[in-house]
Amino acid sequence: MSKILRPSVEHLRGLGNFTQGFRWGIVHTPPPGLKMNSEGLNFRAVSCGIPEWSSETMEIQIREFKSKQPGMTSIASPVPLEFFETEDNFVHEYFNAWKTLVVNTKKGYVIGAKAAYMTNMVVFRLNSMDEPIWKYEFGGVYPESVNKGQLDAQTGEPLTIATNLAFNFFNDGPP
Amino acid sequence: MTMFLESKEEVYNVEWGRSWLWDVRFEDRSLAVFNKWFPATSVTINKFALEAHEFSAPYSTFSVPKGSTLFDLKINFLDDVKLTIEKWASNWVNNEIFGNNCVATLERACKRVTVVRYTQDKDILDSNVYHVFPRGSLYFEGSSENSVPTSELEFVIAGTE
Repeated sequence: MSKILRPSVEHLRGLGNFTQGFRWGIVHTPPPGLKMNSEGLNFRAVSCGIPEWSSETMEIQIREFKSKQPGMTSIASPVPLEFFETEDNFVHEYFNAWKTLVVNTKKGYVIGAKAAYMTNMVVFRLNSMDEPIWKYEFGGVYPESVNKGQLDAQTGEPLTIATNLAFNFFNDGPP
Repeated sequence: MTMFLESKEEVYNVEWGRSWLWDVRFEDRSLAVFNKWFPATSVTINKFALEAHEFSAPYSTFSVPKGSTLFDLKINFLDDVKLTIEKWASNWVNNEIFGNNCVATLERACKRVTVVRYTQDKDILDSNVYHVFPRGSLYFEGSSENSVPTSELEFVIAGTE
């Protein structure tokens, strides 16, 4: 058995740069039915979830003996995304337009084909030089919920729009 | 005498089966996209069906093997927005079986269905081809739920390959 070392300062220095949670960006392709520039979403995005992979464990119990083995696997959809809103109401307009492609909000029925409102999205994690070092790819994305924030009497913070984007495919790896 | 199942180790060492490792396919071009894979969510199939003959004798009742009963196949399935499966099944019964002012012969009434079961790494464990025709009725059950339409089809197995 190899010797187990307690990490020293030298070891930690040797690890290189640690990744920083605020260095990331979104490349969101507008769905085919939506004629808006989606670049503004990237500049207003303040947080982005990363989907969790999980395996539904199967438990086998024969009298007193319990054993576990991996069962069906899934990746948790939707992914939460939050945006700051600006006075031009870009995020409101973008999501209203997208939502209208999915559901006729006045009459309440699903309209259009999947091809019109489903889209792709890639979230890049960046290094300290702001170069992509990892990408999270989402396919078959559509808005599952859009929370347009809350108005109050004392908050000086920008209005935050909290969205949940459902997706059908997810993959992550080197860019 | 020792116990048969002595330790947890013996339970752990078995690769246990998984109930979702199966597949169903009807090879029928009128199924369009579902010709390659059938959107079944559950399947029930006889592996054997043996009836026993009971008789009474002094002091007790006995039972001896008699013969087999009918083999059947049940499939729960989802349908798409074009009602592909519903239309396919209705056409099978109303046109192919009842179509020409008479009831089709067994040979003409049957379709081939393949039921496959897999190992956990998706190798085929066993594959059976059955010749089946629908029995009973097919209902469309409309609801007010946020769900995909589901129905159940029941088939008689008239033969195997």
